[in-house]
Amino acid sequence: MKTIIIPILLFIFISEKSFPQSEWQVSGDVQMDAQYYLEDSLIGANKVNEKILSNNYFNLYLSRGSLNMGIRYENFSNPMLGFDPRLKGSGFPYKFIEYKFPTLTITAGNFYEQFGLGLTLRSYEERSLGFDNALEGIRIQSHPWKGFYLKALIGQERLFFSKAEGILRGADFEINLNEVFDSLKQKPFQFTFGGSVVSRYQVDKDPIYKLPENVLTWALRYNLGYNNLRWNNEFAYKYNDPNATNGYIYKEGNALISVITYTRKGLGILLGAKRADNMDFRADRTLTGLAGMINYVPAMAKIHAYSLSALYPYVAQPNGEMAFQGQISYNIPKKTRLGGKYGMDINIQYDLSHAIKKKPISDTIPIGQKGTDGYISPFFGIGKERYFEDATIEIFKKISPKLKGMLSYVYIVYNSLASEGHDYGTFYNHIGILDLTWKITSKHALRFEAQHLYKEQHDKNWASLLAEYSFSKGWFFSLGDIYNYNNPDPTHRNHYYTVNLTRTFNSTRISITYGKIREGISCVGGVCRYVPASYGFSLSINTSF
Amino acid sequence: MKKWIGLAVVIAVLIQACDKVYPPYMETNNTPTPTDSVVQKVIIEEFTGHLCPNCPEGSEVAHQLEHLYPGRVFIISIHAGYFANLQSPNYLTDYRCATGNELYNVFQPQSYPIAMINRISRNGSMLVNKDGWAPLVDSLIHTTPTIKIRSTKQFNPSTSTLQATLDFIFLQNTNKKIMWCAYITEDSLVSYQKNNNSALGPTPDIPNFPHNDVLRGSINGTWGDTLISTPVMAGDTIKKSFQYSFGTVSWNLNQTHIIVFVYDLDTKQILQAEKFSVK
Repeated sequence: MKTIIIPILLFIFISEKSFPQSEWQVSGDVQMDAQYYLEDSLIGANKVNEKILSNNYFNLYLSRGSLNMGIRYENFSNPMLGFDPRLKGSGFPYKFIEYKFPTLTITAGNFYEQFGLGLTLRSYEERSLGFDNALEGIRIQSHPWKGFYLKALIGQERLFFSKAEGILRGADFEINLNEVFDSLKQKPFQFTFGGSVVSRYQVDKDPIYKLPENVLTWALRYNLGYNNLRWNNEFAYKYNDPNATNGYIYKEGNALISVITYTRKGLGILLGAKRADNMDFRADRTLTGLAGMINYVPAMAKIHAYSLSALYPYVAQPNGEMAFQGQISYNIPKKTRLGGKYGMDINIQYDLSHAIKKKPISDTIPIGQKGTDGYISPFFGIGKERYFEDATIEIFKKISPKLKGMLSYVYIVYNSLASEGHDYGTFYNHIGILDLTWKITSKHALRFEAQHLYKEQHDKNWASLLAEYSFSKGWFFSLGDIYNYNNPDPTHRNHYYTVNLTRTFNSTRISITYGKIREGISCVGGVCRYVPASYGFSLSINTSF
Repeated sequence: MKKWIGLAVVIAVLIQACDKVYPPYMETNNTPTPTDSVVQKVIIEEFTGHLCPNCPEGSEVAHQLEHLYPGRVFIISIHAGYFANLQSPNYLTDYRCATGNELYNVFQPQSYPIAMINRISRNGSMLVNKDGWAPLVDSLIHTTPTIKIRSTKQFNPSTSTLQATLDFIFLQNTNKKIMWCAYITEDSLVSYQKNNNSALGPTPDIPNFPHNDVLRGSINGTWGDTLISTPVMAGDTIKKSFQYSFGTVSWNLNQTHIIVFVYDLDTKQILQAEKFSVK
């Protein structure tokens, strides 16, 4: 508790001395998620001894003049199913003090940070995954001249309610030429470039292998623009980093992200390509899963919001992936033959993710042999194994002043072994989705969702129906069911029904749900956690102030 | 300009913060253990199972440590839990035993492979994933032992009976309550094993995987018997002996070993261990 009270008192003292004229500003937010678990042997929802599990967060931010301060209390008593059991406990894992000078900001304590696209460093929080790799240390951010941005930091990563063993040191710079040179300000040409380095120190206690105690990654990036066209590139390199995720091989890592976008009124085009090889970088070389991630290799796949198209999500493979992405969004203007009275939007997306090509380093050493250089991989070599493929077409159409809809076809190829470690083979999913919203009055609306997933593999076909009624401004009631009606094992033809009531008012949201959740994985940006089957009542409260 | 110089210095320093390791990547500084010296010995109790695709990697780590510290690291492979279940058509050899099942129920491993290293508790848990075994074994190997175990044995082939006498020699004064225990392990059992590491064998199944150090049972129960419950002085020796009849078990007694260990009753930490063959 001393670690909380002393900084608060210090903050009050300094702010009183330095900014007596400034007003206090207080803000924060609260999130409480809890579930009362019931047993259901049919879906594999096991008995939970505690009956109720919950994840709770409370953020409080104070600011006065150039001083900022924040603390977060977290309580996992005990963590909800599917979240890492090592989260169990409570405490103040996030606390910081920040002072802003005219061209310099200094943060002490915990902070989140990202360098470029995140290939060398991305520290962030994603509560739906139970993920938080906040850094604890010192960060300096500087903006010395127009268009010049510098950052430097040193610290350790959060690991549940303690810190990961590795010490991280990093720096980043970015120069925006259009800001630097006044003559370029109004030009259609735009150019920014930057670079970053991050190094991890972790002592070598291994008696078998010589492990590098200092592991370095660096990255260079640029963003080139001309009128509506943008080309964003980042290349990263990681020196030898034998660790638990790569099977303790000494090969260097590299990654390249290249994305071209074009936008104009009614049209958006995106083309992207990614290569990642041995780029999983952790704050402790022995960590796996979601623990201790230092960097982030961005996902190159569409985020699906509907239950059946999200059933088999994309999982990023930072240790070996070649991915491609293409997307076109087009608005067919109203009062045209196709657009009709209200116009129509079409999205077409294609994503493909493959393994990288790997060759053995010699005839006698198999690929991936521990304590070797692992393998050789040509930079543009694409492996045969397909991890993920997604072809989606979506049509959004307003049919009348009160009725609008969305029709979608999604084709997903899902490699169950690469994505979730289950040797169920590759699934070829064909998914159809219809979403209709009927605005009955200004305060009442009815939304209806029908989905069907067809596949020949594993548990075969699924169907889903959902009806959602919003009323009296801020109230939502929904009733839905996902049904694995064609499971080859008739005893597993399960219904996963949910009933939900949600109330939002001001900045508060309260939601109560009763129903069943299917076993699977939940992903955000290609970073995933296992979701066990569960059944029961859940309560979620979010508010901010 | 000063700021740029500052940034250049930061980046230059960071770029230096990198160690490039060149082959050979294996350490070469270990020295053989003198056979007559009193040294600390370490038991790796590895929870495993033939349906566990990551377990060949665990087995490899354990055997690397066994070879790195010959005669000082003993492996006990506990086949228990879901991954040790039988599955048609290839996984029908049952390596489970009552002792292993009891250890599984008490220590409740959640992910495989995972092991206890001398049953040392860290952060409230004795279970360590395979990437933590080597540093922990290395740190324990270099500690000063408090007990020495000396064994003499005689095997009667006509009755398949092992007669053993154990001397527990205390090297320091102690007032701990200490238990002694003797487990039986068997080597060279060849059968199927799931595998997802192509560097270690065919995937997803290795048809002829050598299962070594398989826990078969205990001479004196899962938790053993009391060795001392009152203080002893350095130099004191406590003698224990046992007779064990293997009867008509199908085990290959040429490949069967006894691992004797002593542990602190309060902390459960293993204080010393010894291993000898049945025949």
